[in-house]
Amino acid sequence: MSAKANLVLLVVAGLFLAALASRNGSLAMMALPFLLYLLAGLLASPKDIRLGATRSVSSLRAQPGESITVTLAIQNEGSSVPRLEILEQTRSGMLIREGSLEQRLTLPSEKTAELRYTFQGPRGMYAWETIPVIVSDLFGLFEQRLDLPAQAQTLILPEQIPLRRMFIQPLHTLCTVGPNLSRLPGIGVDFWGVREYRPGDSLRWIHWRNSARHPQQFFTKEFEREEMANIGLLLDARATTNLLRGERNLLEYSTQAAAALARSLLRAGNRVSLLIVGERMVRVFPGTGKPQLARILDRLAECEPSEKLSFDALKYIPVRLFPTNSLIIMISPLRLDDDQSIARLRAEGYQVLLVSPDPIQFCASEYPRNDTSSLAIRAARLERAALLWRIRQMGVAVVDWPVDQPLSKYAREMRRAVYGMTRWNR
Amino acid sequence: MEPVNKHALGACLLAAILLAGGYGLGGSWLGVWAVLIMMASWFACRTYDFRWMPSVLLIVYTGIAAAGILTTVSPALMIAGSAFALAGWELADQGAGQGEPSTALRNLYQREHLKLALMSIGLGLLVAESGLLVQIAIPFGLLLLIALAVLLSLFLFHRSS
Repeated sequence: MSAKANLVLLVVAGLFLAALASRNGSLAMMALPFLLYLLAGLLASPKDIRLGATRSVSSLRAQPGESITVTLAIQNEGSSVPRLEILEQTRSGMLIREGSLEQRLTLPSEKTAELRYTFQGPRGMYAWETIPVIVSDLFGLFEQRLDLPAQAQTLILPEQIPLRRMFIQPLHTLCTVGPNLSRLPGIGVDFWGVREYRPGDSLRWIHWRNSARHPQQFFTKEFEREEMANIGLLLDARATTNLLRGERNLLEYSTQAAAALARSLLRAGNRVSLLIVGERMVRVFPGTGKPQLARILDRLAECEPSEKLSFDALKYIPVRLFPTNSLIIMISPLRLDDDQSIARLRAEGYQVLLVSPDPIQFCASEYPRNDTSSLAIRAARLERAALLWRIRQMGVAVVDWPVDQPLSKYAREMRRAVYGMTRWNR
Repeated sequence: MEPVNKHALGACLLAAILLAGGYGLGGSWLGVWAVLIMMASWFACRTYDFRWMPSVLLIVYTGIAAAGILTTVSPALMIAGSAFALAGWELADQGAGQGEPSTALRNLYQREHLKLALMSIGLGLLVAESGLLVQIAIPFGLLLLIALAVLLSLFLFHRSS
């Protein structure tokens, strides 16, 4: 029974009581239209309700700003439904561009009702399990709420930031052809050295100048072998580090950076894996090529900042999930005690590149310009500089990224940092 | 502002005219003012999208009609006024979804709803007005029993739904 029916019942009861108290028959007569109205509603209420629903989305993956059309279809396999209210659920951030989320209609037997709307939204996963509907008589007096199962989901991927194909030189490589110089002789294009000719060597690679100096011997040129590298992306999605500024979240920049790096490294021909420390540990196993990029982008699209996570979550991450001797690119704004977690990664033998979106620069504009805030910002900057210095001392390549600058500006710095670290470790 | 539902507007205006007319004929100008002020408030509140305003209008108009009957204003006009207030309230609820896209099924709902509302409330009004013409002397005890039976059935009906 709905609130409407309760109101009518209240009016009828009130009129009858007033008629009784005043012994006035006209008051009782006044209740008759209300009673007949209730009776009509009761007689017209649906009996055999058998509804089915389907939901479809125009694209399973979309770029931010792209419109997605959702179509709901409700089929009536039972008797006619005099009044069907479709109440589509919204997700936070959804911006309805076209259509309506609610509809009230009569659905005759064996007919299908359709509701269509178009929305845009920020990065995230938009998933629906059911469609809530209210089935009632024409007046909406005797209603029944139903949740019709109709699953669908769509992903809005992180915004694409341009980053050229990255050829970084990690310390360890796999024995598979790839883009990274391995500091071993083999198939490649960079000159490596000269050695004595061995049967089977191609005549094209004979070093004629040395061979001319030694008439009884032949010499062969060697090239530096180019191999694939194992690269792990570690994204920190803790709410404690990913600060909010208005409606903007630092995590958005981190996910954009992770997506850009994954795209760039996979295009270069590396083997990339992903670990997100967020609401739960999300893992994408190492892989190559476009399917792997799609897997990584899907997980990044779903990633949410986690409030529930323990402060020490980063300290106890299962680092062994990354293959041995991987280069780990950690994307984190960092907390002051995170150097211990990075030390653990180094102790496990991983080469680490830290890309740290600068939280101080991100938040500084929020504070009013006065002596207190400028001192506080300066102190925070000093603390962060000391933290980054400690991390660099561990042999970690650090890129301090002010998020108002494009990441592409720091691509060369990343390459140099990894190369410098590789030379230092060699 | 909520879109105008001409049926609801018409029913509410008729209710106001009938009630104000009844009070006017009875010479009770306070009642006329109460009806007109309420109608003006309903118009004003449409700007702010107050969904509860039609319900308030129904309760107040029914109260005004009941008070009119008790103060010897014409019962026929008061009953008609309250019936039109009920029709206005019901049709205003239909107007709440007017922003939705117009489809064949939605138009079918609007037609059927209007038809059933007019039929049920119209029939109720007809029966009530006819009842005023019939004078039956019922002993108070029997009347009390009938009233209690009606209230009990309403209560049981409410519990079972």
